[in-house]
Amino acid sequence: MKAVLALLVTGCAAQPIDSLGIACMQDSDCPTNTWCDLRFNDDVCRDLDVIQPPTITFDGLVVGGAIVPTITVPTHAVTFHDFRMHDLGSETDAVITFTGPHCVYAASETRSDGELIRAGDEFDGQFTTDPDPGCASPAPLAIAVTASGRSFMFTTTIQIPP
Amino acid sequence: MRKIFLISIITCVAASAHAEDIAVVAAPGIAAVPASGLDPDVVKRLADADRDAAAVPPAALGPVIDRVLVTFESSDPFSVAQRPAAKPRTLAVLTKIGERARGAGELVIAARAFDARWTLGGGGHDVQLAEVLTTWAERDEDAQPGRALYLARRARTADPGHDRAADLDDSLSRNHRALTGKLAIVAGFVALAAGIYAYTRVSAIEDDLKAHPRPGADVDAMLADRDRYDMIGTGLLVAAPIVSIGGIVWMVSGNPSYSPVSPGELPALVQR
Repeated sequence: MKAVLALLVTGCAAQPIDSLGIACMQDSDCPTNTWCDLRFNDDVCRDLDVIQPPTITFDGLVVGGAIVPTITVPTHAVTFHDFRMHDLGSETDAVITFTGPHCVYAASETRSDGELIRAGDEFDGQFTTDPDPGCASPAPLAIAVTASGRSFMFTTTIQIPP
Repeated sequence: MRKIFLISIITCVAASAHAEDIAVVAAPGIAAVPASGLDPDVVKRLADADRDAAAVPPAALGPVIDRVLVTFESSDPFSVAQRPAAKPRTLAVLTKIGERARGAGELVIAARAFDARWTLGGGGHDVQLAEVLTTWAERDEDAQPGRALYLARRARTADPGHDRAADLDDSLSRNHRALTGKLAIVAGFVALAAGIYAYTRVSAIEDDLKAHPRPGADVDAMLADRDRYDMIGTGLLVAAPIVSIGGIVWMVSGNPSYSPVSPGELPALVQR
């Protein structure tokens, strides 16, 4: 009897939201408790109870395999540095950019069409610096990550010797 | 020649069966018909019955009916021969008994008297019998529908124009659940069709949602419509077979489970 009542209340022809494939271009196009999945050109609403949207976190700069609060970069030379990120949501392609003061010449060395970050995994990438002498230190770096139409902004600092 | 002789013998034997006298070997002749048309015993019996019909309490008139009908229930040639002569007075006594019993509320006795009168009278139009039988049938309708059906049909035979008897006969013969049962069956099919339509609306809304993006509020409204159609459709599709099968069961259960049953008191007169 309970099963019949439940059937009557919920119906049985409707598909679950997650498998329905409601077209969207942004989260606001989706019903409550869902998000717009723009990964891999799906462009459909996903149920938050079934799958979480990508959520990128910046762990920090990496030296010798360890996270450090800041690094010192040399002037007059292009040098490569490591950073680490995590994806707490679903797998996604992420486009990562580094922006700093003009004199620092910071640039991301990740793929311009996006790096694949697996769900729950950490991602180690690189960026370069080529600061001019006399550049203010510490210099702030802004890190922008765009994944499935979502933007994540982080900041860190680097030390530039005089 | 031999054939003619045999035919003559057979004809004589047959004719002797209807002779006025019964011949017993070595005995005086026995009259098969009283000279006056009615035997004195029969005359006395009818006279007594006529007197009792007015004097005996109505509830005790049953035996009086029995006495009145002796001549018509006996199959001996002597009684049979007196029937035509006894008939008018018997009808009168039966009428008196019936009317008195009916007036006193003795339905069964009145019905017996009128029924016997009706049978003796050749089964013609008898409004009084129809009225009494109908009243009896109405009284027993709930407790003994088979008996009530018999009484109603007999009343209808006695008086084809008797409306209450006809109504009672029709009512007891008819399946009172037929109409509601058929309606339920039809309602089940309507529910099935409506449920299928509701499901097509669910599919149409889902296809529309897949087709192109729209504001989330619109999507929520469309999903609410979809869920409403889904709930209604599911309810209708669940209810459809239940209603239809229930209608069939309801209709079948309404078929009269009884057949006409004559009460022990009727027919009041069985002529042999």
